Amino acid sequence: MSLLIISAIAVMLLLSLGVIFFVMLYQRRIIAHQQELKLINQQKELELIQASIQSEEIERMRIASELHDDVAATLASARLFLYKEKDAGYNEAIINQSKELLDEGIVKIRNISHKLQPAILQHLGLQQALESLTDVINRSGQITASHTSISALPRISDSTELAIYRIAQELLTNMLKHAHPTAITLHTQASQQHIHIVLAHNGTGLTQHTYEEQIYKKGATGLKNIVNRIKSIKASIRFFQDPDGRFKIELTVPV
Amino acid sequence: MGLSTLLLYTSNLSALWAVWVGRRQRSVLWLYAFCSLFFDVLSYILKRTNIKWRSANLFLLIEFILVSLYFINQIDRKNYRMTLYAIAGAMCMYFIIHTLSGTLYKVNFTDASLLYGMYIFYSLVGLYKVITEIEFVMVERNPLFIISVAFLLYASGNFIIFLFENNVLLMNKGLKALLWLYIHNPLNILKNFMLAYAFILINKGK
Repeated sequence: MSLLIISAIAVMLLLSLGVIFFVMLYQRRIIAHQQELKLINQQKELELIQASIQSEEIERMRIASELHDDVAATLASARLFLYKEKDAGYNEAIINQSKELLDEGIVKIRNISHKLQPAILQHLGLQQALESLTDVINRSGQITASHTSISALPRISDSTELAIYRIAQELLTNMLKHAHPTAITLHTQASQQHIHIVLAHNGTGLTQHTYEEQIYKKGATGLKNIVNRIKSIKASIRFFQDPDGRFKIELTVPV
Repeated sequence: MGLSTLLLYTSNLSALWAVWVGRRQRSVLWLYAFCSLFFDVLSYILKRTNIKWRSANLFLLIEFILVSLYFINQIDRKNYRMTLYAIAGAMCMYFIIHTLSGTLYKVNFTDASLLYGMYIFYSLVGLYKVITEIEFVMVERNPLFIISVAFLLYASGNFIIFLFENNVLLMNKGLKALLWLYIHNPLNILKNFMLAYAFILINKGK
């Protein structure tokens, strides 16, 4: 009887332990399953973002080539006709004015086309493309923009280069629109695992807190595009103010 | 000091940590830990005096009411809660009537085993809630899991002891002492320490 009682107690305790281990294992399995689902959802979200960015780029390229090859060509032909008419002795002043307007239109279209489809990025790479962005700002004469680099950026995948270029382009546009700076610095640095891009300016910029507030607000399409592009290349962005009071944006992209 | 004395004293005072840790909560479980400590010390004193009254019957009843209140309140569905309240109430009445119809100088272990069977059921309900409503990534961080495990182990071990206490074990005093010392006391210590750990987790959660 004693043995029976001891065995019964042992069986009860073993059963309890069995139940406890079952609960622990079951919970772990459920959590693992949930994490797997979360990962799949994140992957799907990333794929959707990449697809939307890709389709946007394709559309930009299509518009750029239409402008460059079709509209610009039409305007150039019109200019040629005007030259001819000038030789035939028509009102020279009006013809010259029309020519000037057409020239201006051609330049504008070319600029838009280059912005939509940055040829410099395709041919010379990210480093030169980023430098050209600061050069364009410099040419305005109102803002000093400079580019510094510790090590030359390596050539990486086209989509990543394009995403970085677009992010920098959007950030610079936002700076010019909202921060009203007088000096901008673009610093690039490459390590074996990462590419670092730091944009600094002396205007009124964003901190990490205000950036995170802005991206959840209605509108702010530019910032939301930046967020999507950052997600698509698994990069990270940090907004902060250095001890000198300059606002900085640090973009870190895994290579 | 021998192992048996050490186990006895540790078991009697094991709820002290839980009472201290959970003092700010003043919850049903804290009251249970407090009653555990109070009655463990009281029964120890009573055994050493000539008073024949045993406090265990009263403790078993209070323990059942408090544990039932804690676990039944964990159930979300009102009709299940009401049914369990009715069952627990009926069991309380049965225990009181049965104990009073016997002698107050004898602990009603046979009926107590029924109450302990109910604790096993409550613990399983608690564990079911843990796996159906996952709130914590680490199950060990869930206070309900810790409390359910504590009561499941405590009740499973004591259920058989209580069931046979008043008949079979009364004949075999050696085995009875052995079971109380090496099964009941360690399980009581484990339960009270796990309660203290659960109180720490609840404090952290707040």
